[in-house]
Amino acid sequence: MKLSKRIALCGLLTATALVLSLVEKMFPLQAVVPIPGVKLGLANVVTLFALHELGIRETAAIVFVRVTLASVFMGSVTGFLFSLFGGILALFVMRLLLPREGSWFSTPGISVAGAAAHNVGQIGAAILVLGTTDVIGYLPLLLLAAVPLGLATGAVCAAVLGHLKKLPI
Amino acid sequence: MLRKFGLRPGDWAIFACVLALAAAAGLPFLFAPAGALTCEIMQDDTLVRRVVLAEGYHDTITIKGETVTNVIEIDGKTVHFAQSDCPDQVCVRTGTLTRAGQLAVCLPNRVVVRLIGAGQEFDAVAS
Amino acid sequence: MKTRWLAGLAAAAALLAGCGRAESSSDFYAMDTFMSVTVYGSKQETAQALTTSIEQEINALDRALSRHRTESEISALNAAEGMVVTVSDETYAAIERAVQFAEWTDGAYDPTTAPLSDLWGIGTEAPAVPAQADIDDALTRVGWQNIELFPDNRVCLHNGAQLDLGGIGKGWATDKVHALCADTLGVSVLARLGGNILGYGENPNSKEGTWNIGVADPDDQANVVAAVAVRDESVVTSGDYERFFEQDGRRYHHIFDPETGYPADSGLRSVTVVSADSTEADALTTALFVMGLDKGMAFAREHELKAIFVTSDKQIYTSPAMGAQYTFRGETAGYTDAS
Repeated sequence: MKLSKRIALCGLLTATALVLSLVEKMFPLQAVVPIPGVKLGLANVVTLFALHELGIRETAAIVFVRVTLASVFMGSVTGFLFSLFGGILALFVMRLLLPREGSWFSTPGISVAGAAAHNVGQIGAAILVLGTTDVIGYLPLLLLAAVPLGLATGAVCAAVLGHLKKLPI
Repeated sequence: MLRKFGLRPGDWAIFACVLALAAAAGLPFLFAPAGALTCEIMQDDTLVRRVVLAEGYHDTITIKGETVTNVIEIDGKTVHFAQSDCPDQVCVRTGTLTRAGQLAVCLPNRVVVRLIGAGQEFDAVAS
Repeated sequence: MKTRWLAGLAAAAALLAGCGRAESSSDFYAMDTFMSVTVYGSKQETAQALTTSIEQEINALDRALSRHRTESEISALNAAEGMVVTVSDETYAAIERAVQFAEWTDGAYDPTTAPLSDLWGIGTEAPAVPAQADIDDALTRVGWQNIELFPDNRVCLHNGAQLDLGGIGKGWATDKVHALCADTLGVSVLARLGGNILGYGENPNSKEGTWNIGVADPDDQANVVAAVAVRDESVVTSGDYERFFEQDGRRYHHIFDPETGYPADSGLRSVTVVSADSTEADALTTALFVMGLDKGMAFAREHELKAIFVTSDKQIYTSPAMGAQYTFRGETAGYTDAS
């Protein structure tokens, strides 16, 4: 892929991730699952996709810019650190599993691992920032939710990748 | 259904790892679940929100009634009515709830905010 | 082996914590306030049944005694324009007690101050200080002597008086709850009827078995300035912070002095009365508030009442009968224990 094309794709994916972050704010998931920090994780679709199509460096850049801009839009500083830790950890875990995609793991399976890693990173950041381990109490429920939510976003990503194969990027 | 997803054997290992992690993180809490300071928000007979409070957790809950709208703010381990457009303002003036057993009520909107948990010092407060 | 040990521990813990205890609670809205009743008993059905009958009883009382419900007996009496009206045994008994309290407190508690609160618009969208002429006019209709009781449940209101049992209604309901509890064997009950709190039986959550009731800080009602330990008694508080409005930098609250037609300006923020008779406690919090600290304290001493006075200069006074039931808790909020 040419450099200009990669940069354009990075920008496009960042914008998509940002829109997805904002869109999922509209789903009142917290009303159904009453724990702070629970969300659909739609932006993870973009991370997984970018890992596929670009490299880990580009993906890290996309995650960083998405998290920063989303925090600016939503005006939450503590939320920024939580999402950043979560996003980076998810990125690394998915990167580790990706070489075995198709053989050992499926795309939705990797997405579940990413979602779980995101939660662990989030809570890890919360422990560091808040100086209390109380927040670990949220982790079990977040992880339980990560399985169906990760499967759903992973399925979306798999579908997108499947269609994209037919397009010349 | 799962087959359609094209799940691979390794996926089950991932699920098992995630669930094991959840169990490991939850174990200490299973043995002392009742004590955690929990905020419960009711409107009439319906539970609007029940959340275990922790330092640094922020949330703003807006409850729209027929004529009155309440804004309730959770800030770390405390909760208070930040705003209400009712005439009496009793809920806002009740102040910030910080300990188990405290409660604040907005009569016009029939909203009750209370803190539950261990170490409740008073059974009730006369006001 | 290890799992068996764990299971044994869990069973022991369940036994210790439970002791075959059942609990039933109910939150509801009645008498223009929030109510919450929790019943502890040995059987779930008993606890549940008592909670339900308490709620039903209170709703029935609300229908009979409310001044704001057009179908209530009190509304019928107020609309009778001086004619004699026959009411139910229950309503008659409540009116009779209201008149007794008014006589006893020399009118400091008066069940006919409704024209004043209506005139001031307390609790409405637009409360305001009325013109003196309007207050004087309203005062001609105020006075418990205007209530005349006849035999056979007949009542009549003279001089355009309006009856409002709001000042004893929650106390009356609390006493009903108390009676219902006493009829049920082996239960403990915590009933919170707005500002009236009843702790009945042995508190299963405390070592001493008493109920620890806080007295609210008038400036921050989530917090307390005093605590009272009770058993089979109710704690009632009336304060200027419950319903009020501000005009030109002054605060006007809902407890009216039947003498002046203005909110009682007695230097008090709140009065708390502890008594097994919640109707009495309800009427007396209002009466002592209107009397003010000196007269109120003298009255409490004379009749051996348990009372707590919170003044606007952040002093807390208790009557001698209060004794060891009372604990001062207002240090952090800047109050001084003056008793």
